[in-house]
Amino acid sequence: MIGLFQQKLKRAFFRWSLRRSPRQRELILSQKRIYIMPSRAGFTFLVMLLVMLVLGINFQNNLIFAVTFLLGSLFVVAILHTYANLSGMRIQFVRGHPCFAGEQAGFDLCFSSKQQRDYESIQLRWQHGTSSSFDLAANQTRELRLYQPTQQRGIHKAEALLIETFYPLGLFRAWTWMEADLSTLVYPRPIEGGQLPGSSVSHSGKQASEQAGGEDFSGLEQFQTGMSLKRVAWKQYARGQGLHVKHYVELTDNQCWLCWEFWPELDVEARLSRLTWWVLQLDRKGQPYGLRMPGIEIEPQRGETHRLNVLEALACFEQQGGL
Amino acid sequence: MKPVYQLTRSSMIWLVGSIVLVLIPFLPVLPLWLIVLAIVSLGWRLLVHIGRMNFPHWSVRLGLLLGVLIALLWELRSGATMSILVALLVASFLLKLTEMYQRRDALVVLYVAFLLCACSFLFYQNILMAFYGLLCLIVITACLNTVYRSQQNSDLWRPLRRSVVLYLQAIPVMLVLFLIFPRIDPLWQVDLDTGKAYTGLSDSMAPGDVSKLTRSAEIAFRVSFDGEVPPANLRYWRGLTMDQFDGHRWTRSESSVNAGPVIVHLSLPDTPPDTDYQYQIIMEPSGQRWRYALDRPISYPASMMMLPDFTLQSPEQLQQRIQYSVLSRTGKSRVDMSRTVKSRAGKPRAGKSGIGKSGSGSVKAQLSRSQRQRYLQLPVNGNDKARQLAQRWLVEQGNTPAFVKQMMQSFASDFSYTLQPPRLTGDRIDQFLFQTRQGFCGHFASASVFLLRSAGIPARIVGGYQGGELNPVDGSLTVRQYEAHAWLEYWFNGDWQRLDPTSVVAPSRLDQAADQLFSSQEGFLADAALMRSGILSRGWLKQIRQQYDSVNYSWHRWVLNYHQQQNGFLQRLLGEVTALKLIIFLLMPAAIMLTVVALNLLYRRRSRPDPLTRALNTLNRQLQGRNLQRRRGETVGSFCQRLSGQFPQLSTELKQLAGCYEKICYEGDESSALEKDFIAKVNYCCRQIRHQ
Repeated sequence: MIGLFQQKLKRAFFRWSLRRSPRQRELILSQKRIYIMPSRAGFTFLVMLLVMLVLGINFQNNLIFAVTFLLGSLFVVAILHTYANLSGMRIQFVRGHPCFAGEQAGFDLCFSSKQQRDYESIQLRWQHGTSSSFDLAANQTRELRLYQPTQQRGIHKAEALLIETFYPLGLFRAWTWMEADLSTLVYPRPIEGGQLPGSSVSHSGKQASEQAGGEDFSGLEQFQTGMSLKRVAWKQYARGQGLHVKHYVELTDNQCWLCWEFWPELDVEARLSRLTWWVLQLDRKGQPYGLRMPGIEIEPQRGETHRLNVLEALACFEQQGGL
Repeated sequence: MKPVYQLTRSSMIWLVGSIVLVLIPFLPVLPLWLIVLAIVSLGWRLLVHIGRMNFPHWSVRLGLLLGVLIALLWELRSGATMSILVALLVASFLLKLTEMYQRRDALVVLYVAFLLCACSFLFYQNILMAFYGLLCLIVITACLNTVYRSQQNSDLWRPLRRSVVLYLQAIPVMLVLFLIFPRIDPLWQVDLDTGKAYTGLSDSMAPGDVSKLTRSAEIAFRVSFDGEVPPANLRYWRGLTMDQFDGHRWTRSESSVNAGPVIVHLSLPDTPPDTDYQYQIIMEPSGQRWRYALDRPISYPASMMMLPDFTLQSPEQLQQRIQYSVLSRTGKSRVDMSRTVKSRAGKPRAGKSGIGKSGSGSVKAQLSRSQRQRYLQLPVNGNDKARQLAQRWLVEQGNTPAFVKQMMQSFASDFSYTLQPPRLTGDRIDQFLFQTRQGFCGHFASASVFLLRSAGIPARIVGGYQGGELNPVDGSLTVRQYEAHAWLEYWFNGDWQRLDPTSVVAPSRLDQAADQLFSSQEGFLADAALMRSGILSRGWLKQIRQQYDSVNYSWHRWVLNYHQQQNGFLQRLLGEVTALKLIIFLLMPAAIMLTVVALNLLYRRRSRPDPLTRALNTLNRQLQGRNLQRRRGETVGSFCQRLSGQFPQLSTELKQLAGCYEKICYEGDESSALEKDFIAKVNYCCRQIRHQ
């Protein structure tokens, strides 16, 4: 009963504290958004102080009184210290990293302290995530990546973030809820299955010619930033010959289109999942591919950027808005 | 398997430190098996920490728990409830130590450590112990701090520094709380039975008892006089009188203890005021009901009552140090006994209202029949030679003063004083008077009262202390157990006359401090080697000791007995004490203090930027008016280039300036000359721009 009431109260408070502040990209923690209450340990501490006080009263022992008052004052001073452990911290929400549905989406957060004061044992947690903690020394900047689980494809807004601390004595909990103005793409969950209809592959009338990205190994070329890591020649790298990528050539015209109509028996999400899987497959092979969906057509190409474009199209299919 | 909460290394060290520190004061109180348990569980926990051992299996823990419970129940027989309580706390936190899985478990240990630290003050209350307690608190708090730090941060001393800072900030608030917090009467009656045996006078005396006290240098009570200090030969601190003798042991008769309070009437004319002494006594726990006072108390706290023998008595046994103030009148001033009123039904009357004035001092007081009987009581037979001696002296001398004189002369000539008298058996008085002729105060007092009573003179033994060491630093008097004394009073001329046979046997007993007098005697201070060696009573060591005693006295008076001082103190400070005043007085300093702490914490000066940035900032301020300041993301180079467009006459300087900056920042050339050069150039540009 009490537990239920507590839950309700907590939820109401949570909603209220979020309503107080709009989504932001960057903010500095101040008394406007730091809440502080004795923690459970703090209440236990108070009970212990009460026991001590009764001891002092009943034995008329002024030294026990002194200890009680000293610890009581410590309790009061701890309010300030716990509050100070959050106050003045600057939080920047940097970026979100896309992921596939069901995976953890990462968000980069940047914490910095402009003051001559250390922040210790700060705990971070998404509303439905697990908590992690970090320290922040004076005048330091610290970038953290926090993950939160995703369920659905599409645009994923960052959940409410809890920043809390019990430092230094655990008697108080200072915390704040904030909603970051940060979102990321969640691609459809790739599900294996189906076959690409072989006949519909070829759409270009070009002659078969040597084309990079095929299946036949033709040699090594120097690695350059942006090249796919999947093609790195690790063996050569391990021999100390530098970072190279394997160069494949394709002797046949091997372009393919991924079409919405391939699997009419599937519903929308399942189709998107299968398309995603095929995108990944083809990308791994280094084969150029294009996407044709109702309202969307992406020319066959290869490479990282192309893959991301295709995946974004899949993620945002029939959804409002964009990044 | 439960998740194991791994204490960090610094956490572990501080935890062990605080447990050991907290346990040390309890070593004399705790049963041996608990100490063994402490060592075993601490060792086990350490081995678990370094990975040599596992946490004990649940069956081991259950076994330990049952064992401890049974052992504690067994300890209950001894009846020392306080030490059992402490033992329970200690056992609980030792057992918790062996099963620390979560942060919460560590908290339980630490909170119990806090409690134990407070409990140690039930047993010891001196200044050193107070500082020790503070140290314990600081260490426990440091450990609490480590528990809440992140795992990767295991600097060993930082938590201690943090904890000291916290306490420094907390102490001012604590002082205010300590001064203001109203001291309430105990919520329920507690029996402070710490299982400690008290040394001190007992309510019976068989010659031989008092010598036990001379083995002890413990403090019986401390006195501070408001005015002058009475001379050494008047410092007779009366505790109780004994009127029943069974041939071996002196005791108090039921009727004398339960006689009920008296209302004292002072006879007016022959009381010179200069013999009044007003003083405060801080009495150590004695486990007895009587309270000490100079002969003869005329004003005393309302919580005490005066028995017909002019001793002060309190309804409760003294389990804790108390402080009370008494006004005594010594010398020839006398109290009119005949007008004592017994009020059995009435409640104890306050001494202050008890001072009355009798109409005339001329009427001689008389002992009532029952009183006379009581103070002449002797065993039916035994000690015949002493009785015969008394009869002979009475016939020879005729009157009481001559009898007393004869008796004292006899003591002075034939008897000697020793702390280790031969054993007495059978007719002890006879044996003492005619064979051994050695003894201490108890022997002399006992024999004298026997002789007086045999001669028909009412007499009684008085037990108390004689003397006290005067501390020149603060004028307080410290009375120690070895100054316990027994003397007697006899009835003459309508009043009780004090007689101290020891004073004629060993006159120096009164003039000298007891420690000097007895120092050659073997039994003296056998239990206090340091005191006996006399090192502490010589030269500068004595001065240090006296300084310490003086500080200690203030400590007792102002800290340990603050609850008895609080009212007066607050009144002096605030005038009339009202709730509003108290609240203001409590809140103001606390608020000020906390504000200071908060400002210190929250408004740390922002870190100063490095000199280069500062110089650029001044330049920027100059440019702000013209809206030319450095834009966000603009490098110093392009900034300077842009400026030289605006100020062509400065273009060379600006170019050099940019070069300089790049050299310092990007080429790692941090020579101070270059830095100075840069700052000078910036300042030059500033000036030029301003003058334009």
